[in-house]
Amino acid sequence: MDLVRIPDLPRANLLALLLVGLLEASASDARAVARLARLCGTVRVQAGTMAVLLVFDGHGVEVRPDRGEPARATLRGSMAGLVAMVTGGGLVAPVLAGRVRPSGDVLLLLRMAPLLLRGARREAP
Amino acid sequence: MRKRLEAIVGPDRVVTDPAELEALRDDFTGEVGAPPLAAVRPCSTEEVQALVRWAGEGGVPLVPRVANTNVGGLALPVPGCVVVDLSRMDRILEVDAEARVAVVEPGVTQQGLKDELARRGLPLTLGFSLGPPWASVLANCILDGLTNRSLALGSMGQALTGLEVVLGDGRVVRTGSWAVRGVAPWGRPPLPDLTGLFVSFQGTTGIVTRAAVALLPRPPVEKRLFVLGYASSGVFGAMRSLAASGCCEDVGGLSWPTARMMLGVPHPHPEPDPGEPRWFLYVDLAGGDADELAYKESRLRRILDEARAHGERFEDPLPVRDLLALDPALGAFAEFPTELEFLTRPPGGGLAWMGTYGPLARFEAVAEACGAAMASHGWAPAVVSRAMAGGRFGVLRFLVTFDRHDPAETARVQTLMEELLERVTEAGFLMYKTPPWALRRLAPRIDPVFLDLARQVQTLLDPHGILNPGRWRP
Repeated sequence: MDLVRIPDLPRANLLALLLVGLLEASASDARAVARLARLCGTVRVQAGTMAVLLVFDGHGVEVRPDRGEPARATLRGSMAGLVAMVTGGGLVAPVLAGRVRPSGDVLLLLRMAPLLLRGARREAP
Repeated sequence: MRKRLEAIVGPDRVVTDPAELEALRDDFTGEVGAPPLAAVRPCSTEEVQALVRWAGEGGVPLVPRVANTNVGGLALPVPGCVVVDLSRMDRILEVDAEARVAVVEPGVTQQGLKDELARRGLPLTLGFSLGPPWASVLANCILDGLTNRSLALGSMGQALTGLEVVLGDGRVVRTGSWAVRGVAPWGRPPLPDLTGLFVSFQGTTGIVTRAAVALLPRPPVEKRLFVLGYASSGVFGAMRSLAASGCCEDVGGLSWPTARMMLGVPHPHPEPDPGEPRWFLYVDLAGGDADELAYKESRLRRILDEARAHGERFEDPLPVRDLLALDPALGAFAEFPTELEFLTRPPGGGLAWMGTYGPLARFEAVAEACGAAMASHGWAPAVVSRAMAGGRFGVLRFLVTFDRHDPAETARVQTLMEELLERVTEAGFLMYKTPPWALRRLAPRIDPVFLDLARQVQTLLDPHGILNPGRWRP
């Protein structure tokens, strides 16, 4: 089974496609794969008014359209804020700057965040 | 025939092998041309002259061809023709850095000219089309296509400062200042402007063997930004404001399906995600130094803020470098020329393309109406647009990829293209690189005197009717 799954590709929005790209890049890294295997729960990621659900099931992650289902945690911000998180090295600085707003199970978000960081920054806390 | 052709270009540059000829029968449209009698690969203007004279004697149609990237089927072989493959004429004959003009042969590619300017260390650039790096600079100019510098230059026919052309009777003419012996091709005035006789005539008035093309100064500092916008009114309003402001080198927009296709979705669903930005505005800024660049970026932000004050919604500008860090697939927009694989290698092999020029003031209405038509036929509204000529007009392109081996799907695409043509024409837009089927539909709307004059020009310049027959003959 693929570690990163997108069940309805033709309907996937831009955010979903970007997140799939980031998660698939993570899935090529053994430590990130191990991290992925430890995650369970649903996270809503929202950039502007565009949102997706990341459903972690202990085997991988499924990227689904957001149809308003409940989520354990939410990461919300502008597109620029989320890009800053991905390219800038982590969750903490954009949250402190108010560019990204976490809610719900923050521990889950902290454990997930490194999977969304690009390249060498992936292992940052 | 083969012996005559060999006598002109040499035996190694005549192709009659059916398997080799087969490769010359298609282009980016996925349409298939007729089997040619032969193909020849001339290396000089003199050889092209000799070929045209030979063809004129026997009434053999000649179909010029370069890079196989045409999107209008304009270089597909016609029955009984000889294909004149000009790709071996690939010399950059001159770069006049002071006049900012390059003289190129038909086979010079976008990447080739870019590399040559870099090799010479010249602070010059050319405009790049969305065609791939191996697309011909000259062909895009004489077919009046566009580039990422069309905001300054207009359509690329206007970027020509002179041409060398083999006419249908074998004579060679040079246009612009080049018409005067000993004068360089620095511009088209002040002699009568005959260059236009070979622009958008689709090869029916002569075979262009050399073109003098305007270059532009390469700015010391540049920045490309993407702005996600939620409505066509805001995006095209911002495009108009940016074009009029003079603060950017290029401004264009991609619709949401186009972005998805770039990110690997071969056939996006026709309906958008409710919260997804509908348009991706791309803006090139440039300056003499960082301060000028920062000023221009502040102008961009002010224009967006003014639009927001009127209720439009935009995300903040994102440097393309950041987007590239998100997904390398977006790197296709980081550096030109670029290969957009969803266009050069579309899934199913078929690419239909309604490319139109028209007034920027009507972009949102036409984009929305044509997008709705595309969705009603089952295709997501993939649109690519750009402001041109200082914003006086611009380009709106509607793209469909399809399975060229599925006759029913191919027929549906043709029906859609005909509907789009009707809609854009009604709105005052004109299709460029116009394929024969579209010209036939347009013909009743074209002034009969204009048509008559165009036909007289074609007959005058191609008395034997051998040059790319069937093209630009509504």
